[in-house]
Amino acid sequence: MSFRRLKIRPAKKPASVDRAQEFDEGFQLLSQAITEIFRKNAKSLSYEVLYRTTYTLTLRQFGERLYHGVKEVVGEYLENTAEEAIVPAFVNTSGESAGSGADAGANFLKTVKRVWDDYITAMDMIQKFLRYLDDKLPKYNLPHIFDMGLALFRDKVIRSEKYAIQSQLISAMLTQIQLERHGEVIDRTAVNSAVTMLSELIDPITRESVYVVDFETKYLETSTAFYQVESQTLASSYDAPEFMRKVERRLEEEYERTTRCLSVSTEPKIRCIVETQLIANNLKTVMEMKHSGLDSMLSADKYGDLSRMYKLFSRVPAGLSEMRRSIKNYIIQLGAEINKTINADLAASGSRSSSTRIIEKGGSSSTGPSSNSGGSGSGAQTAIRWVEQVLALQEKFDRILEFAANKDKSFQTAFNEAFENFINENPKSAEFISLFIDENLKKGLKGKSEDEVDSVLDKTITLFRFLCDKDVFERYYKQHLAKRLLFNRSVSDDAERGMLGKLKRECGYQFTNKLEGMFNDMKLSTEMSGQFKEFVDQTVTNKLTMDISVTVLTSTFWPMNLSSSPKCTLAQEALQACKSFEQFYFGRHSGRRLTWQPQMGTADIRANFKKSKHMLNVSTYAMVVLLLYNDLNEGDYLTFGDIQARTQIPDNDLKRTLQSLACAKYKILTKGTKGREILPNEKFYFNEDFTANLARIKIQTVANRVESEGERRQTQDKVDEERKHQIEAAIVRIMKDRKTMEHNLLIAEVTKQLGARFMPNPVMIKKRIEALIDREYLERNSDDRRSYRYLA
Amino acid sequence: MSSLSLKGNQQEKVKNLVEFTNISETEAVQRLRSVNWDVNVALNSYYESGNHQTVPASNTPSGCDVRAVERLYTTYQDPDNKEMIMIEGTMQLCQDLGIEPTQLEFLLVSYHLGSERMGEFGHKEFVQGMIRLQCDSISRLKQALPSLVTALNDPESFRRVYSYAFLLGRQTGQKSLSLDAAVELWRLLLANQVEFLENWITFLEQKHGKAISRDTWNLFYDFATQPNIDFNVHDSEGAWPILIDEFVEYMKEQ
Repeated sequence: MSFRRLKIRPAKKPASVDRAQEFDEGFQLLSQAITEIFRKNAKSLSYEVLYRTTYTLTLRQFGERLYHGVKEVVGEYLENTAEEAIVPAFVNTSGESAGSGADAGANFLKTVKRVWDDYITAMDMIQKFLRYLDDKLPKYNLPHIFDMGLALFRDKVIRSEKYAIQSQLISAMLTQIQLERHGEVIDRTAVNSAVTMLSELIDPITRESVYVVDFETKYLETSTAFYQVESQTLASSYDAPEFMRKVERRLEEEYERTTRCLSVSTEPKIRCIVETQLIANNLKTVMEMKHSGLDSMLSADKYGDLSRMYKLFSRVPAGLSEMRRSIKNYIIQLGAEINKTINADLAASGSRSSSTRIIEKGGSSSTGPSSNSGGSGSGAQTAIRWVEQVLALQEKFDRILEFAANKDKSFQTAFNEAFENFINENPKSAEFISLFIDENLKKGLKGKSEDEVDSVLDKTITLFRFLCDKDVFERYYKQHLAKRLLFNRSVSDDAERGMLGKLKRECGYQFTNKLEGMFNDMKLSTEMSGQFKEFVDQTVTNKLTMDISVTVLTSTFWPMNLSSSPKCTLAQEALQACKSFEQFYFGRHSGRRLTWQPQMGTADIRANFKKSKHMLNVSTYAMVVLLLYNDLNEGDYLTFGDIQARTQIPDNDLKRTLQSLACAKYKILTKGTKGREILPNEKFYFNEDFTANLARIKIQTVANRVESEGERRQTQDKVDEERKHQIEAAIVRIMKDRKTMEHNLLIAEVTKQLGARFMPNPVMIKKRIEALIDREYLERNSDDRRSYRYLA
Repeated sequence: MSSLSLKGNQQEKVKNLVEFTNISETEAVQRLRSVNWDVNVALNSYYESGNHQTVPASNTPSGCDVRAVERLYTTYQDPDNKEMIMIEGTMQLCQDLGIEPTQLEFLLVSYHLGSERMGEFGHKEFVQGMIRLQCDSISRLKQALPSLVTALNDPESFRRVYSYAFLLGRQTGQKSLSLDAAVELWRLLLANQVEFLENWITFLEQKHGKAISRDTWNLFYDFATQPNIDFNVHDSEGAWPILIDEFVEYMKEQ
């Protein structure tokens, strides 16, 4: 073969050939070899000859010329290949249907891939026999042969100025991806190899790969456009759960496609596009979808959907905060509904009950226990329902938090804020919660074990935590506790003390101080009643016609009003009993004052009816009323006015007492007219014909009810009064310590100190500061009116 | 103390001088010794020596005669209580000065002569005040009146008179100033200075209707004399009395 001869010739006459001729000969040999390689005829070439030729030419200082020569040859080859191999494979964009277009695209990509693979293989070989030159190239400041090959491929093929290869290629790739997005199966390797190819080529200006510069930008653009449309399509054609499933699918697909078939570096970018277009732009739309949006999911406890929403929304910046806010609003809305219906119920039932209720000391005569009748007022049931509903709501959202929100702390906070919001919206919350606890600590609850009650109370404490006005709660709790203790209704001392312990843990010693005092009073009174019995036994002259047991209450601990101790004319026997107790008590404690509180007492009386005898357990008031009938003849009556004149019992209390005797289950008295209303001249008869199966009958009057508006105002006034003192005390305490303090700092400090009990508003504090200035506890600083000084 | 070595009437004189001048006992003894125990001379020399707080009153730099002041006092003193000038005496004083008790001048006379209650002057305070003003006759006091009024242009003096007005205006045993009295005094003192004074008064009469506390009285002056006052930027979190906060709200609504 010709080049074998050529191989020998340069060795034979190296010196005789002149330099130019030497290069031409050598170069021709090499360029022919290159052409052969491109023709895939490499087998016929001798690596050694080619290498030596390169070596010689390079040694003879022809390196640069050789380099440019090679470049030219390769360039020519590429131009030819582009024209002959690639251009014919161009996708004909006009006329043909989409399906065949897709195939054509795939074919085009395959063609390009084949050209590329061949070229790379060829360049690898060329590089090898030009090795000696390649090593010297850095000296001439020239790129390596292989890199030059890549640059040539980029310029002559991919970015060819003659043929629209670049746009063909990229649109073919994009079309393939788009087809896949529409659910068609494509040849991924074709796309993938095009990506690999473009990644190998470097853009000379940006030093980034051609993939990034030419393809990725376009890809992201078209993706954005696609997902914009997709977003609208999905949002308008699916309900929220389905929408989210589709979005999830899309995210998975894109992830899979990008990592498998494109470049990993593109993944965060495309993810961001999908997230922005499908999630971020649809936050509100999805949450507010009718019948399937967030509210529906929450109301139906769709943990799966909610959890999906949580996960999806957590991908975009504002997502979770939007979701939080919506859930919060939803809770507030539900809470407001609970408040509304409950208060409407109250208003409906409230018309039946109205009276002042103050808890007082009780004197009671006793012979034994009795049966049960009646029940707590419907108001109390409403209050309990409120708490139960709120608790249920809380439980619901606890579960949502756990199953759907990954126990996210910020969600927990938002939920808590919502609960706090609507619980404090309801002015009666404190009372309701206290009533609910009352119900659970009361005797005679059916079907609840101690542990169950305990866990209910634990939950109730979480509601209590939301209350801003803990002092209001304390006031109600005291009232309810007083009744439980005085009427002996507590389940057990342990349960009561357990509850007290919970409150103490929440609010500290100060909060429960007085409550504990109440328990202490009960204990002391029990001890004392034994001593009183001995005392009575010893003083023979004063033999009582009835037994009496007295509970002595320390006035500062108990929620009662000494000044308005209600009048009540007791029967002679009872008065005598009271007197002997006073005699006993003052004998032991000089300088104390006792005020009798008849409306808090109970009495057991024996009643003889025509057919039977019964033991009646009634309130002290009812006893006073019933004793009046001892002096009457059979068939005689007393009017409301008569009874009131002779007993002095306050109007409202008397009405309630009479209702309990004449209108309840056990009718000891009969009323002149039907119905519950009591007219001023109403006649009451003793019901001689009364019969009942039980020997002992309990007639209840005092049930814990929800307060009427008037009572609430009174309670609020008392609370406000109490707050005044507390604020003043706090101001003085702080100022005593600091001596001088700036206005705003003082306000902040007072708010901080009192925050555990209630939220004092700044105006309230300011009023107290002014009052203290007036009373010369404080003065304004002479040079700065905004700061105060403590006057010792 | 040196006073231990003094005779009884000398001790009396020292006490008098100390009472009138508020100088220390030692200084009083020195001064009295130097003028041969004449209290009047000692007083005059004290006030002329100028180490006391000069009230911008007297345009007669020559001293005033303490005995003349004492004589003047006796013409007004209450027949039943020689240590006080009561309401009749005060009315007479006003008449002699040619002023009404509702005039600003009367408030100033009360201030300078140390009246602790409306229309009443104590003996000691009256004499001390007159000496401080360097007046020993009604005509000299009358002459001094315009300068007392102009002295109010000094903010510090004005503030002292303003605070004093609250004390004077109170009813016996009251901590606060009745609204009527407060309104009258405000009009007397601030009518020229505070353009929204009438709004304030209307506001108080409509919405408040109660007595004014000392704190509110004093701070209203501070509030009203703030430069460039703008109700829209009022800081309700500031330390102003609540009444003033409410007034600002009221003005915003108007």
